Amino acid sequence: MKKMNKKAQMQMLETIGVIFIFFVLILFGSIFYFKFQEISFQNKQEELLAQSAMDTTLVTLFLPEIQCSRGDSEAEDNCIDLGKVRALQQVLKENPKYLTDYYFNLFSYANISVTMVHPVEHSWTIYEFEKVGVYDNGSEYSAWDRKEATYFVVTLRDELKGIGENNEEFYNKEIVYGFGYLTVEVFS
Amino acid sequence: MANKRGQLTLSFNWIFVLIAGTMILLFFVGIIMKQKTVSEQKLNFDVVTVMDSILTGSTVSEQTINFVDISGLSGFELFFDCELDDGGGYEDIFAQYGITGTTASSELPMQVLFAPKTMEGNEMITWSLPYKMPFKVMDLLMVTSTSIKYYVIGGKGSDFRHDLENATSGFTIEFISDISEISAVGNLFHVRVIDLDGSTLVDGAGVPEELANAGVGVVTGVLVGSTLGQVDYFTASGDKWNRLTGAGSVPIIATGLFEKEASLYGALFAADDEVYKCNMMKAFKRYSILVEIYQNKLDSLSAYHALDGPGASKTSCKGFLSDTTGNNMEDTLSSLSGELSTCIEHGYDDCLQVEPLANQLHELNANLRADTCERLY
Repeated sequence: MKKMNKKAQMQMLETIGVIFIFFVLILFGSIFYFKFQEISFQNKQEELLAQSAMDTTLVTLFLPEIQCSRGDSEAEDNCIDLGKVRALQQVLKENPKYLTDYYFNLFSYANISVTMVHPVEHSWTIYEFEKVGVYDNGSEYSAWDRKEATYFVVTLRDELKGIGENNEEFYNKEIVYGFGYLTVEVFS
Repeated sequence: MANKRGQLTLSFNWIFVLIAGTMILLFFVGIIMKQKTVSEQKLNFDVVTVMDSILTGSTVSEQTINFVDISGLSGFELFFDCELDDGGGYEDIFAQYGITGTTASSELPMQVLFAPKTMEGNEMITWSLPYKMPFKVMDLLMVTSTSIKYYVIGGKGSDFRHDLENATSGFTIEFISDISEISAVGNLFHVRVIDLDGSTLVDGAGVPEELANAGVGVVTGVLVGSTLGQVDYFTASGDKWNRLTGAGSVPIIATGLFEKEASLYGALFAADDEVYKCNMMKAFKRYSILVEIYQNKLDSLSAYHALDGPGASKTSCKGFLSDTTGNNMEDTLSSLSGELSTCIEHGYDDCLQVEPLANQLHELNANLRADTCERLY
């Protein structure tokens, strides 16, 4: 009788052992799966951010607000009109709600700037909307995890002798065409 | 006694197996359910992301027609919606697109997109045209599919019909001279009749036999006025055409200076008058911001022409900008800004005055160019 009891106990232990190992395997599988999912998710986020940077750059290059127009003709490709850039800066300064209510829908969290390399080194920020958080004491901190920057070489046209520019380098200088680059930084 | 214990062990084993089995089964069912939800959400998200990218790319590819393979979405119905508030102003516009019956949707607060209300098919067609008033305001995007058929009737020999025929190569479109050439709906998702001379689309008139009783919203029509200055939307209700634009025709706001007026072409692809007006209100909002930018640029332009030196201080240049009373850029832009404010606040029907002012601006800019002055745009 004792022998039978022991046999039943052994069988029970065996069953519990099998189930235990089964669950351990499931646990390992789950850990592996979720880790894999996490990595895929991060890769996907990076991919999306890169896509977003490309889209934003594309939208900026074709933005009627800053593109070099030529009357009724087609606009000049990859060319930015500095007269319009300065006007846009001024309009956004005077109406900050355009930034939050309108252009945010177009660019989301991003910084967009135009830098002139030749003949004068100068930079213009045309859109600035960084993802920020606020501490209890009211101070702000950067709340983004990733940042993707893209650069695009552009021609810069300024037919107005830098009028409206607070930079001595521009005064009375006939800079019709210069070159520089467009910087688009997107955040996630 | 031993027998009883054996029986107890056996029963315990069965109960244990049953409980453990159920738990394992529930565990896997839980995982499957979770995965199903995750997959659906992932698909929804992917669709919206891909669509966003397609639309962004299409919008900036000025004057290009793109054929996008969407066979991966076959079986899904895409919807495009743009609703105006009661007043018709810009502030309360709600626009979105997505997949019908799922959570996959994305808002379109500022993109102008003329499309049918719903769409299915293996190939999506996007066509982008710049809206110029007279400077470029933005690119308007027309979206359709190869499973939507367009019949163009009337206007034979007209420039518009000819331009439309040249521009829409690859579309499911047929240019017909008689209503009898229309065939049955068949596998098509939607049929639109574009009437260029008012011979077919008449309120209460009979729908061609082949299209009658095709189902609600399947057959629609757009009647283009003879001067290309207005449109009327129709839908087939049973075997009769029903005019949708009860409040009157929808005026097309365009300068008439360009070969392809985006606002007119957009009207051919918009689902109805509300969708058309709603999207145009988004264009007018952008227009108002651009006018402010140009007003600001005008100040710099005036300062530039006030400078001493060769070529900079021509009297005629200054005249076109601000000196001449009544007809100068400063006053025109100011009037335009005022008209656009009214338009954005009160709705599409209050935007009509924008058109003559845009034409005036075009003339002044041309004058600047003719006198070798720096142009505004």
